[in-house]
Amino acid sequence: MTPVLETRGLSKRFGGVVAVDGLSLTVGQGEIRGLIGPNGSGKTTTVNLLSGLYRADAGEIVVRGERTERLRPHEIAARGVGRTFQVPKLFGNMTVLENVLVPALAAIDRGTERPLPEVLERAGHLLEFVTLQPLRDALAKELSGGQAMLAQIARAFMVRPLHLLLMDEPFAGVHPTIRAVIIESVLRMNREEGVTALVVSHEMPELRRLCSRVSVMHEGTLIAEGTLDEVANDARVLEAYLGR
Amino acid sequence: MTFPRRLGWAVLGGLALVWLPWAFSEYHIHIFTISLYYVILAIGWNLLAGYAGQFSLAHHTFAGLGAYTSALLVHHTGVPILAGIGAGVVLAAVVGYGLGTLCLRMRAIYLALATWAFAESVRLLIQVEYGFTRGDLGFRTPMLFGTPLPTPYFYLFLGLALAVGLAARQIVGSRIGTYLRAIRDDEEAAAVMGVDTFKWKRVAFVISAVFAAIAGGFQGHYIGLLSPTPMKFNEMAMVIIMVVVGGLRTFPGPIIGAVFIELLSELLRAWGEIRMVLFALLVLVVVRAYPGGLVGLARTATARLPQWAPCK
Ligand SMILES: Nc1ncnc2c1ncn2[C@@H]1O[C@H](COP(=O)(O)OP(=O)(O)O)[C@@H](O)[C@H]1O
Ligand SMILES: [Mg+2]
Repeated sequence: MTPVLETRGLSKRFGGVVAVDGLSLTVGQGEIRGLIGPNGSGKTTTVNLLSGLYRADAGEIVVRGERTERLRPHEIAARGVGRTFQVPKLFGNMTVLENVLVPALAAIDRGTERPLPEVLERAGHLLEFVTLQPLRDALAKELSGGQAMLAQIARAFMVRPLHLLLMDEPFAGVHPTIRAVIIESVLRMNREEGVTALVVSHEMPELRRLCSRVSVMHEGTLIAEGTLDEVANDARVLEAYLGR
Repeated sequence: MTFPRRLGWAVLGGLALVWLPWAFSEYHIHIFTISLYYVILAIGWNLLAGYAGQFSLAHHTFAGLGAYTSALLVHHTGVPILAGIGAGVVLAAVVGYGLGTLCLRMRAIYLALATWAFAESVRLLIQVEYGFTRGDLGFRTPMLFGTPLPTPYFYLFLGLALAVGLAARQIVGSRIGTYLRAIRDDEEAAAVMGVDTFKWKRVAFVISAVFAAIAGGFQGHYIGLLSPTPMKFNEMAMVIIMVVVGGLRTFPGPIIGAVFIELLSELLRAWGEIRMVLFALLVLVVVRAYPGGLVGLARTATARLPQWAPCK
């Protein structure tokens, strides 16, 4: 079966800093993969490359068999890639419901829209599920950090069909009850709709509940891959985290 | 407000506007007509800068482009005035598309700089090509209605402002309006959620250029003499002041702001250039203390009203 995501030799440099350095990463259909690594190892840059916000200097990105490294962000979204940001990026002056509807409205522009009642029903369900239904008419800029993260997740699930969900540090600075909601919603989308996910995180207990496998990045490349316990005992991983 | 009540107010307001020319002098009607010209410019710039967050500094240039295109065409080829204005609008759309393509990938500050540079270039070109445009001497244009008396032009601009206002309202209320608001709030988030941000920014840019060229085209055949002076940055500053004072990113803001500032500007005519200082200070106060502008103030005031009202 073709993997949902495959990168080959993916590279990105900022001036003298090589943020991502020949990264080759494969995530299979239906998998929830963790992506860990010390600060500055290139995880966020990778997510930005995958979602098209950065243009790769070299290498390939293949999403469900199709090359995407030259595509613009909205074209990548059209191919079923959704994402969240570490510092939530919502449309502050729109309501929570409006925020969540943007991906569905964008689909009208490319002629792949779904019937309005279906869209509204899904938006309602998702907001219910992430516990934001009571805040649907609040302005997004009035949400707390954790609520904003939940709204981002609901919004990403409105990208249809969603094949690959990219999450950058979804648990950073988020209250434990909200962490549980985040985990539950990703697991559920994975189970019910077969959504594949790549989750950048440092939080081991949360990753343990979400993923069977994690990939470890260091200085822009992959240094280990396996179950959390396997990588936790990997000599190179220990060295990367503890410093040379 | 319920719909019949809204309709009632709209009819009443409409009648009042239609009746204005009977109650005021020619001079006043002229000022009202010029106010309506600015209403159209302000609505277009509010769509682009307020809703889409793209701070173009070439809005007045598109008005000038509309005016000069029509005047030159009518003069040199003898086409009817309306055809000249139409050509000006088409040219503004094409130039807007081109300029948008060049500038709209830039970050805000570079967009402002690039559009400003474009505006100055066009103005200088018109000034320097005096063999063709008569430069600072001014270019005579035929009157649309064959008369310089303001009343028919007042009605014309009333109709144009209404049409442009309704069109803008339609756009803002449509999905395009949602794309634009999303882009203004967070362009990266809009893009990764599937919005073709560049395309819709350019659509907004072209629409605002078209609005400006309509206003400029008709106004040229009302004032009867074109000069490069209104293509100076001062004019752009006036539009910005009007929108900000009225209420950026609100529907009535540019309308109220344009009329308010134009009337105030006339009232203080004796002050000359000092008015710009006053307006600049006004903008500072609004931005610092009342970011919603006059419309924001009015909304806060009416939100408090029901507490005083005896019944309801
Ligand atoms: N936009 C940028 N401009 C310049 N340098 C950047 C930029 N983004 C990331 N970097 C650099 O690239 C490296 C990797 O950063 P990042 O991808 O954010 O790491 P991580 O998310 O794993 O902490 C760091 O050295 C960082 O300073
Ligand atoms: Mg990061």
